Amino acid sequence: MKRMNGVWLAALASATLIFVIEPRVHVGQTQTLPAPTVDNVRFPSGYQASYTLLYTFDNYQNRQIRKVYGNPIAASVTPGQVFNFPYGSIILFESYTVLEDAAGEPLLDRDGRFVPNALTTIFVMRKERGFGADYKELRNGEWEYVAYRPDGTYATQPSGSGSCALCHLTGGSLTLTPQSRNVGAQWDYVFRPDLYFSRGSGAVPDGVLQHYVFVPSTIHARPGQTVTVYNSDQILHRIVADNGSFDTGIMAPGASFTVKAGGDGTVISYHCVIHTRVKGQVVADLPPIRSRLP
Amino acid sequence: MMLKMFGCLIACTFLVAAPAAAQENRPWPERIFVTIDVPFQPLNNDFSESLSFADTLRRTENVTFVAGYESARGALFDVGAGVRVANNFGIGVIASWLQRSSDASFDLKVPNPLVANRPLDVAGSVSGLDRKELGIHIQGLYALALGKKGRVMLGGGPSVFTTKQDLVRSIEFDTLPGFTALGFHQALIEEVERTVLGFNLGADITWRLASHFGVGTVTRYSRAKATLDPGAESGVRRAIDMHPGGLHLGGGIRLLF
Repeated sequence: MKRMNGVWLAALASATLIFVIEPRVHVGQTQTLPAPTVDNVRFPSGYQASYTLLYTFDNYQNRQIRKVYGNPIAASVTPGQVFNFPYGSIILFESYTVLEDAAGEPLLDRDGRFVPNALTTIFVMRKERGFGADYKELRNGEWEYVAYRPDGTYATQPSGSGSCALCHLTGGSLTLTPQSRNVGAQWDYVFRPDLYFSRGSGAVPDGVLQHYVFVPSTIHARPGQTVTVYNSDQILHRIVADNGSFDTGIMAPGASFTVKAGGDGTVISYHCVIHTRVKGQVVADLPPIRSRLP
Repeated sequence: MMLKMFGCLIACTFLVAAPAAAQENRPWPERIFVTIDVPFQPLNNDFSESLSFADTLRRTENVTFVAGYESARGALFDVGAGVRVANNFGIGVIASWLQRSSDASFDLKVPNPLVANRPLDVAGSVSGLDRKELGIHIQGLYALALGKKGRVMLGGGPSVFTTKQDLVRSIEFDTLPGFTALGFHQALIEEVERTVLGFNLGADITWRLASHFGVGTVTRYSRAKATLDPGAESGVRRAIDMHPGGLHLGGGIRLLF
């Protein structure tokens, strides 16, 4: 009960913050949000060579690909430390525009993933002792944020990074509570660590497994299409094809598996070997993408 | 090449006809003649289209489409008539009708939206493309005697061709997931009609068998240029050049009045 109260209080506090801050965001944009005026983050030159690619996330809403990297300190974090990163942690994501079709829908490669077009921005967050105090009520642990262009110039200056802190604070308040085991002195939230620790694919989901049910239970796909299903349940599952063609192994929450649809009209059925009533299928019954040229 | 052949044919005709003229035979005794022939068109009259236009997705690369249409060789049907105007001169008109079915091959290359300079390709062939060609050949005629019963009628003038040709308007294809390949679904065919002006040159050899009946051979070369546009799903303008006419060699009957 205490935990529930904590969750609600945190959500309420966050909602209040958003309510209070939102007009300032609209009127003065990020300049009115409290933020550091000095770049303590600094552009991480050469990160491609020394950082670890943690996961790649296809952002359907923003038509972006986000490739998330961690420096060796951040990449060494275990699931038990995920919301309490050590000082010296640097996490960044490369933001790519994606290739789209004539209707503005993202094109998908053979694995059902977005296809990068151009690297536009590198968003960097860095945790050091005492960082983040300038965000005041928006503070999210001891992180500070800056966005750079690929050439190292600013896409979002430190003084405009209040919106970054706000977003992380909101995400943390919806997910974490003061009673959360790994929370530090203040919120210490990063987005989607499950994609890294559970090896979720980061593809746009075609289905999820939640509350012991595949939703949807039947995925309609085009022949040959790769579909991605996430374990959004709070327990372990292990999915195998009825015909034995695949076996996911134990899937932690946040993990995903993919199924390549067969030829026109074929059905691939699967089930959880731990929870035998958990059943789903992929039916290749959608029409192919048909075009005419010239 | 064709013009050279035709020139030789005309020259030979004069050489053969000259002694006959010396015999003072009347090469064109009747007023009107009618010809009914079945010529054969032996020449290559294939044509092709090569099209390239900017891709809507990957604007730096072009969609290319190439189609080759096989020759429409074969028999025609000719009906003609001539009337003597003065001495050995006259005018005539011939209608020729060609209807053949032939094949076409195509190759469509579409830029891969995921990978630069790795176009996806779909190629194939289409059969049963009809070509219908009506030629109206108007001729000024000059008759030369060829012995006592024969004559050579030289002629030439404008031709009007009305051509109906089946063309590949578009290729309908499926894009496989991940743009790994294109799957051919069907070719959309459009019949395009065009009327164009050309020319004709010819020699008709007639051998009189009775007072009003004879047999003869026809040798005619005609040509025009028709530019055809079957339209396009992508809105791109098409301009496919083909040449109605050709060399017509054959024979038939002659009715003399």
